[in-house]
Amino acid sequence: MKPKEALGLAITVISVAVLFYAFIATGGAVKGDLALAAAVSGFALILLGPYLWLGEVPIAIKKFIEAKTGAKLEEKK
Amino acid sequence: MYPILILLIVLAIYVAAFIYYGKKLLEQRVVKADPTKPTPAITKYDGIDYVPANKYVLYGHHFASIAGAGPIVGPALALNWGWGLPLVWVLFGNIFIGAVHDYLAIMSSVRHGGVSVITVSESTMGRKARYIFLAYTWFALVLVLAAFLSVCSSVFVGTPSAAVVSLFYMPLALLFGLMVYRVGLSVKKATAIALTLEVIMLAASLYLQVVLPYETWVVVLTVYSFLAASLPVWYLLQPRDYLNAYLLWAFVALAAIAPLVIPLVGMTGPVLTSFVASGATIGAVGPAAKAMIAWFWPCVPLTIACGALSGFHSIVGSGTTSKQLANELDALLVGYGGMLTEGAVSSLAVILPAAIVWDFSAFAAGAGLAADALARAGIKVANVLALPSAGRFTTSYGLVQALVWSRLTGADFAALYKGFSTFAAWALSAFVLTTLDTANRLARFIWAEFFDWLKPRSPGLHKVITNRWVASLIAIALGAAMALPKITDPITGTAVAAYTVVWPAFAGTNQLLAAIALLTEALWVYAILKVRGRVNLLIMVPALFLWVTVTLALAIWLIFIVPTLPLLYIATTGLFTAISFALNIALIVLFVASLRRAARA
Repeated sequence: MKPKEALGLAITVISVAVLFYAFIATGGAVKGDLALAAAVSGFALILLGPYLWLGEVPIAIKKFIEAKTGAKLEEKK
Repeated sequence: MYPILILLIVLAIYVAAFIYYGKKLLEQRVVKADPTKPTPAITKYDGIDYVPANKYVLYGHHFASIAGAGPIVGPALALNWGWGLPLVWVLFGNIFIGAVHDYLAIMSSVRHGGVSVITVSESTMGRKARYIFLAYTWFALVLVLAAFLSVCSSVFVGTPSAAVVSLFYMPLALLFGLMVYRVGLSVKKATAIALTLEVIMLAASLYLQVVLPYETWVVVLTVYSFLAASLPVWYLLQPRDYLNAYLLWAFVALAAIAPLVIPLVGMTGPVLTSFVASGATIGAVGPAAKAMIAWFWPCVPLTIACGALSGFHSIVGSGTTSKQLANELDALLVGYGGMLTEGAVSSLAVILPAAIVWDFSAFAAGAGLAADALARAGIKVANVLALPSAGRFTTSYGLVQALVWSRLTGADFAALYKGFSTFAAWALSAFVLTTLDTANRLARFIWAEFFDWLKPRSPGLHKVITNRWVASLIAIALGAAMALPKITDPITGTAVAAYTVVWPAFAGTNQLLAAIALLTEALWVYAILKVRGRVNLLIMVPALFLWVTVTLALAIWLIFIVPTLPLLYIATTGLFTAISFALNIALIVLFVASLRRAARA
């Protein structure tokens, strides 16, 4: 696993944990400074984490393009 | 007149339009769509913006993106003319102008490598016109970002459950995108899994709340819009819109089912109230809002907007959609079909329910409701027109659905009404949010096209300026800067978001964009595709009709509304309207000159 992917995985796990905290610690109604900060940062992080973890070039699309054009796509680094 | 008859007429017209006007005329005779031609999604594939998509996923994304608050709030406001005329305009505008405009925007962009319809105009109207229109469009998109950041934040403050629904869609969309594109799961299986989770999520949102102040919501949505515009389209934006579209389709389907269950509950509203309505119908503020200056024609496009036709659609079609089209034949469903679906939102989910419940006591009597049913549902006014525009929609939709489901299930009418009016508010916020995230991506595309002159002169600087993170940040930061600060409205004396003083001009701006796009497309069909004769007239005549209509509507604004406004509004809304009018005149001059050149060639 590359460092970028490991960071993405870590961010994903942390963001899920933070979101659970935000909703569960407050009994469903997210109120109060700490819970609000957790909910907001959790939602922002969960958008970024899987992106860093799983990379940019989707396998399914890559195969589709290669089949259509006959050209081999370069791996994004 | 009965609801079932309206439903059958609307459906028959849409089906016939799709087959004969869309497929046989536009696709086969005008554009001659070719499934073997590689689209920009394939030839310019980059994994970020140019990414081929499944046609149904793209249809969902396109529909959710083009449908903002306009197809709901616009027709609700147009009820000031009665329900018959707005319905006729929605059907006419949809089929002959709006859907043609959207489909040709996608196809002209696809044939020009996925660039915006404004850049397509360079080949027909010249380079200078292109830069002027690009700058104008970018500012209009920043205005949309400001307005939708503000509207969405206000809805989330007022209805915290709608905020939970919207927030939960984001991780769900990531999961869908990863399942389809990363794991390689089929769209059908991934949709089934995601929809199951969606239902659980909707049920959970009834018990969960996120209570944030307005300013915090603006910041949260700014961050979201920035990320959604910068990250790869397959990862967040496209799957979120696609999954959100199911909520919106369910909303339209419920509206279409209603007349089948209550086929003979009569319409209680007038087909026509008057050909001229108050200025507020076209967004006028101040004393002009009460003056009778909104003549049905030419004002109706400014009011109904996206329900019949919208310039914003051409920016979406030639922005995100054309870069994801995997096959030219998909464009008909996505572009023409997407616009007809939006027309169905206006005609079946807004105008028809309002026509049924218009006179609340007559509706209750005709539907056989208990004497206290409406009072228990919290209805305190006599008719639909006594409500504000969004209230007209949620109340009408909620009442009709409550009647339908109380008859089918025997459940309490008032409880059902509360549930369905909340569902209507969810749908409205979903429409707004899906447009907000696409609008920032579109602003980024327009920004990059505007700075293409810099590339040969200074490639390094061009790379920085058009970097996707930088370009997204500039547009959304400006939008937030207009949505966050509050100023004192000189008309009402109350505190309002800063963008409010420019926003009244947007109705005209949006329709001017439609005129630019449709005239560009008409020229493209004439000069590039070489389509002549009667088929060409079917595009040319609606394009010119739209231009005349928009010009007169802008003139009404300049003559009757702008002079009555306080100085702050004149310097903002007034100036923007004047610029729109001047551009509109320049547009027709360029169009005629280009048409002559093309005819000589």
